[in-house]
Amino acid sequence: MATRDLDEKLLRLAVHASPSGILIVDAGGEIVFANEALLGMFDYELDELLGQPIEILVPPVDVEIHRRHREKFGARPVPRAMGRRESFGAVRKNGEEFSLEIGLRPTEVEGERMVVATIIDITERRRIEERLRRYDEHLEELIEQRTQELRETQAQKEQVVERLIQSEKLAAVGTLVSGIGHEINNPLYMILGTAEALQDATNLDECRRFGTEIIEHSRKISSTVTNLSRYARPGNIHDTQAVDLNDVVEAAIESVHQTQRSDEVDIVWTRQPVAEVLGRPDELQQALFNVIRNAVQACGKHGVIRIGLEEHYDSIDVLVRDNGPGIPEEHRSKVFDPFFSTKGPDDGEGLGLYIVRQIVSRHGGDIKVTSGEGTTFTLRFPASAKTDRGETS
Amino acid sequence: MKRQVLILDDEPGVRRVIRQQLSGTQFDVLEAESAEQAMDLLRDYALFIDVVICDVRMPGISGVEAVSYIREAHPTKPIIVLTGHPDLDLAVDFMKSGVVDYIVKPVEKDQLVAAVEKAAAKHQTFDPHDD
Repeated sequence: MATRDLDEKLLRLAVHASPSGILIVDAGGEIVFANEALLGMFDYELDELLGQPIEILVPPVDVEIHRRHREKFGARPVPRAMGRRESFGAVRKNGEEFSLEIGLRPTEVEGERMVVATIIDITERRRIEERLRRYDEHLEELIEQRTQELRETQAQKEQVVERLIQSEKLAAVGTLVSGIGHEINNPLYMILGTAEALQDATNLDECRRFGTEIIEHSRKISSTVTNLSRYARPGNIHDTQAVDLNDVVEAAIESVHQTQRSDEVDIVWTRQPVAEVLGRPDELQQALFNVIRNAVQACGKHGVIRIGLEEHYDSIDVLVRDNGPGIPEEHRSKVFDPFFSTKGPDDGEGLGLYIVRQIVSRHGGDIKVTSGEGTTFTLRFPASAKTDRGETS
Repeated sequence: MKRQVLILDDEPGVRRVIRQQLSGTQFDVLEAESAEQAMDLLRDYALFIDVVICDVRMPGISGVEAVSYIREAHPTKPIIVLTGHPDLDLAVDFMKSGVVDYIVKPVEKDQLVAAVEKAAAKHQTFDPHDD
């Protein structure tokens, strides 16, 4: 007997020392036992709970449904482990509701069915879970926000590059217009002079000759204006087409001749049978114009610039070589940086090669520079899927 | 006695039109297609050349350099710049360097003749022996 008393004492001590709430309910749903942890959890004294229906611990709104569940459980009592339900509402003596996790173990004591409930207050856990969930949501929001910012930054960068290219093009057109005055005003002057002579002409042959001259000079002006408008036409990066780089190089050389003092420089160039590339002719022309203009400025008098096209397996290279003094090694990595220039303030603001790189990049290509005795710029573009020979690569 | 105008322009068509516009006036025309040729003619006929009409864009020695050379060798010789470039800065630079007129092509006959006469009148006020 002494051992049994000791066992009971120890058992009672263990039950009351348990951090989990322990509750025993009889078959009618009345509370017959509650340990200290449970009393603390619900803020009741033991005598306030003993003999009370279990629903005293259930929020009023859940009382009926709990009663039905209890009756159903009583009809088919099977053990239910802790944590099978995510949350279970409970109510303290002061009416404060909280969440708990409950395990149920049906048993029989002296022939009477009872249920032992093990209960954990998960309010703190729920609070932490909620904080984690909010933190997780906040992180997702931050990631989404950052992603959006990056997208916007990229879009803004694209817009800046687009505006830069447009403004460079307009500046080039301004220079072109100034240079092209010679190309238009000279034939215009000859038309005017010939027309004046026509007024004084005395025979039909003279009239015909003057008429022919006027037509020739008019055609020259028309051709110049057509080339100019083709160069100045604004467009969309998505308006790509199959482009023969031979045409682009020729147009760029023509623009350089019209805008730069290139008479003292020999530009050596012959057309090459290469595949077409997919791109914007006006932008490609501007890129080539900038590179050739740089070469002309680098060469000075008696310079020689050699331009070539090379076809590789799936790409076309445009090579622009000059025999100028070359680019010092410490400058080579910077030549494509915006606002980097070794020229005087009157020779540009250092955006020319930066714009070239942007244009080449927009066309899925790459540009590199090698320099020693003279400088070579290599612009590599992916070949168009459909080649100029009508094959599919 | 007719007066002499030296035309410096690399384009024969332009020289022909200037010659034609000055025909029937008091001016005869000498032609040079390069600055070197113009300098040779000026050296040989300095006393007889009253006005120089000079283009700007030319291969080799440009009009800017040519004007500079002529001004240095013949500081009182009136120079008219006749160009296709409607460039205000360039015009100001030329006027500062001492050219008497900066005319943008196309120019009508009356306007050209008036400009040449005005330039030639300036030459008359100069000491003919300064060259």
